[in-house]
Amino acid sequence: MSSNRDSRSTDDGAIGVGPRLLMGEHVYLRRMERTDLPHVYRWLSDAELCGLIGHSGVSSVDEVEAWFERVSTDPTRRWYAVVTSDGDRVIGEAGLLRLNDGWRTTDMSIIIGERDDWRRGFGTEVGRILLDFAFNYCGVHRVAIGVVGFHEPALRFWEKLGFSREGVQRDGYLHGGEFHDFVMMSILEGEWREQQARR
Amino acid sequence: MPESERVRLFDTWAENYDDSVGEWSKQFPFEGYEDVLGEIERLSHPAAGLSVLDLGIGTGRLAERFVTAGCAVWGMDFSPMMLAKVHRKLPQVELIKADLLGHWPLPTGRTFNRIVSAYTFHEFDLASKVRLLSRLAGDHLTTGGRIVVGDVSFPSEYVRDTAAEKWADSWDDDEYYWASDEAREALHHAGLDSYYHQVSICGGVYVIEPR
Repeated sequence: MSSNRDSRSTDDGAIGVGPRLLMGEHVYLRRMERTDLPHVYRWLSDAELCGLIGHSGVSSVDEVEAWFERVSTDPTRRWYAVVTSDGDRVIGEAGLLRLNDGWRTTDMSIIIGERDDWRRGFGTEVGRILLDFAFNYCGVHRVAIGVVGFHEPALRFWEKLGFSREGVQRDGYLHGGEFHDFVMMSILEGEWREQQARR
Repeated sequence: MPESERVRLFDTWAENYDDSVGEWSKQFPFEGYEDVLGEIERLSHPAAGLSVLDLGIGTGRLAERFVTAGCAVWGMDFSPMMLAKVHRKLPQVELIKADLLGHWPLPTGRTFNRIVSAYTFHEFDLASKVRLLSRLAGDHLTTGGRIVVGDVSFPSEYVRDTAAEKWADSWDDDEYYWASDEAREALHHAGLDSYYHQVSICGGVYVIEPR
């Protein structure tokens, strides 16, 4: 496990744009750094996890490094490591991708890679941090996500965050030799603000 | 007021904060606002290459002075809309979204030559002010570094009480305006040296250093 200083390191080569740190209560987001890649590699070596998140096949170290090179210069991506407030453990990755300033739209992704940290509410908090960031910092109007159709817990998770199902890509996802549906979900700025006002 | 409401207030404020301060800086509580910022800058002795952390960076009105001086500036705020605004104005500033009294974002040992703040600490009661300043002085200042804080502040508790009566209509009971006598005594007990300069009738600047 990383030391306190390492996991919140603020000096060495954080990449991309956007705030370095988005603080929550039990978890916070830190702009992803090269030193996080061993974690990413470990999560993407988990074949079952890859299947659930729609990642095609497990990734090699080289592929993860190539991915990092690509996304670190991608102006439409805001990518963060998910870190626990207690103990500063890196447990996942999350962020916005395909951010389109002109259309005021973005896609979003949350992966809690550490299985021991599933079902502890971390994902929900990350979702709230990212939606706040998307609507209030990035100024988008619409946040979308595509969910693997057979991943029922994920569908429920996004609905709990306020997302609605807006369509299905029939047979949009090939996994384990079979085609599966891919469910498109989204939340609009007004829906989110209404939900915030009720909290 | 509850945390979420406070964030919403400042988010709403982000778009017109600069305008409203311009208008209000002629009267309590913002009288002398620009002079207070100027005094924070002067007492910080900014120079190219110094690292500066701005707490409650808001729309970046203080931070831009340090950016202009060539400092490497980091800013913290709990309002994402304020952060977005400062990012548009000063893209070179590194930003952190955090509540200063919430989970603390900086690792111990991440140090700055100067830690500055304008019109932010009055959101916190005296004990919280002192706890935060002690942490900053202990964990986040380089050797020889200093903290410079400007805010709504009065020379003494007596003057503050008098002001509360005089400006009863615009006095905000949810805020904790500084009184330099009680603040400096509390800072002294926390092991911090301080110097205070009254800038306007309701604004002043503290320079705080570890003893």
